[in-house]
Amino acid sequence: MEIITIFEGNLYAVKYADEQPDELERIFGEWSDVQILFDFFDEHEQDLAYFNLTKEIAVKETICEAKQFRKELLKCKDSPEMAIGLFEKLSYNNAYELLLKQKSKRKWLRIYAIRIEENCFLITGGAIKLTQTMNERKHTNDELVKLERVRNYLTDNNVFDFDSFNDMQSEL
Amino acid sequence: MMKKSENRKNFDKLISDKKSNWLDEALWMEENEAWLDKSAQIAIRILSEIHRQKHVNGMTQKKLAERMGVREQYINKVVKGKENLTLKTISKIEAVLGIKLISVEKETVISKQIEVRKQEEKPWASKNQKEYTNLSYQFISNYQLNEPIPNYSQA
Repeated sequence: MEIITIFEGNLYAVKYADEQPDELERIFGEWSDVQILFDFFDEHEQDLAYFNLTKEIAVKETICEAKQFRKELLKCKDSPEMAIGLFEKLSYNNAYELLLKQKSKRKWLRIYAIRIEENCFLITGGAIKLTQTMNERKHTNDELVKLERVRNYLTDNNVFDFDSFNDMQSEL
Repeated sequence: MMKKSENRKNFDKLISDKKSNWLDEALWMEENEAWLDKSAQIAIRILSEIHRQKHVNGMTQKKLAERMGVREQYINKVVKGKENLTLKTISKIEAVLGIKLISVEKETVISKQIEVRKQEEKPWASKNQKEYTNLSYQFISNYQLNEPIPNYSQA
């Protein structure tokens, strides 16, 4: 496992294996690959029925959402601290997620991260979240496993996430 | 008791020297957004059609490649939606799958060209000049739209 710089000082991403890209590069690669998306929505057709969408529309919407995501992140290129404001804390696990905040339209892309410091996040992965909770589907549950794996790796190296660190300090 | 700065130092020690390709890739996609959007739409249409025809005539990406006389790997690239396709390739895919992937809005393009020429036409132009202009309109509508339209007024 390696930690790769996205925006120095503020945003990093995990690279799980040598032959793989880092997680930010991987998820954006997948979210713009029509074949991968088509196969994904073919596999999750029952979830799309809830949204009343065809695979074709779902692929188009995903590419469009990923594009907006990319633009939001690129806005932070020259002032990386802005990227911090894009993350929201999940209601469990001391993890964070980055999602587009326009409420009017359905948004299902998620980028998951662990907060290292107030102004520093480490991206552990990302997913197309079609269900209410992450453990309902294997691919989102895998993201929870990755979050835990990274947290353990950090702890083994004496690095604690922002919230755990604060909790530890207040207990002492 | 561990200090915040120590926590950060320990984290910094774990940061690799390797560079992420994300930023370069993201900037490239921004620059090429217009044609990438079209390429993705074409890929969706192709995959959708292959999927539909699979149950009718057993169409697959491999068969599409064979009938087009290209390698299967090339079709694998095309359906990723990131390939800058030529009109020749698009036409071949259209022919094999029996679908229309792109069309040029003929009327709109011609109308715009005529509008521009009409604006350029001076009200005091001679009868001969007007006849000449009308001839050039006719020529535009007969001309292939993907080829440059010669401007005879400069000749």
